Amino acid sequence: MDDEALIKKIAKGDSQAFESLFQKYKALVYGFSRRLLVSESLAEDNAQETWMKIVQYAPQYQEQGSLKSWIMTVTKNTALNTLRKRGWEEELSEDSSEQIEDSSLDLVSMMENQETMEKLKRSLDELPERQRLAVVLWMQEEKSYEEIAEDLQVNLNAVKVLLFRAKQGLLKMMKEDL
Amino acid sequence: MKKKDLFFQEQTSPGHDEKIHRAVQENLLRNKQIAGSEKQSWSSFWSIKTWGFSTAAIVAVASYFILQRNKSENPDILAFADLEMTSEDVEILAMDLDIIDDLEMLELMEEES
Repeated sequence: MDDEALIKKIAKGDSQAFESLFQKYKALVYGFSRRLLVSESLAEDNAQETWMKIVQYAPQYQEQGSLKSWIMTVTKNTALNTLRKRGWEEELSEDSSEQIEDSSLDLVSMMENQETMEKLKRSLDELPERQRLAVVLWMQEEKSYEEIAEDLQVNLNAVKVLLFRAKQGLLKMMKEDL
Repeated sequence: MKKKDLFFQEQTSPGHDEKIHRAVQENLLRNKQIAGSEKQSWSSFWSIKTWGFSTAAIVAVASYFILQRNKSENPDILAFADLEMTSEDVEILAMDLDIIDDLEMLELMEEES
């Protein structure tokens, strides 16, 4: 059964359909929550709230893009709401004199093998909050700088600075770890 | 599966899965109740509509046969007087219900006039 059929059944309260969808995406919802929130317990709470929202809003779901994208958006928005409520940890510096260039760090190539992937995950967790969020949104959702700026409620220049610093930080940590 | 998805996937614990299942039960039940009540509303709507149409159809058919009988017995009689329905009422009703087609109705009205 495809995703669209499952969500329609969930909208009617079908437990089996929920089970199928849950089994398919539970690791992604939880893993994405972990990358956004770092803490295991926060990520578990986030995953739980996300699944509750998916069931709650299933009757209103309209096919726009894939269901997977919708699930990822719900996961992300739930996590960002948690962080906003708590208050951003990191003070933003928008030093325009800082050179903003795309670093040579190729994150996608780092996903080639399991070991490097795990190191990248650990390094991501070490980044300051907003830098981590900028990188995770950029990686997972392939979002534009403008969209990331909107999600993080910062301006475009701040996103560029965050991503630049994040990549530099990751590169440094990865080299130390290797 | 995309490489990116593999990177973001992380195994959940059975305990956590169980907790989520419990947490969504209330929302699933609510969805079921809403879907059930919507279905019932439609069902009631259709049964009322069907009942209404059935009754109207019987009245219309009866009117038609009474009209025919009255016409054959006494062509001058005002056919719908007993039913307190005007010929126009019956025409609209019958056409709405597709009991009498347009041609029949025209003939009927011509005969009546």
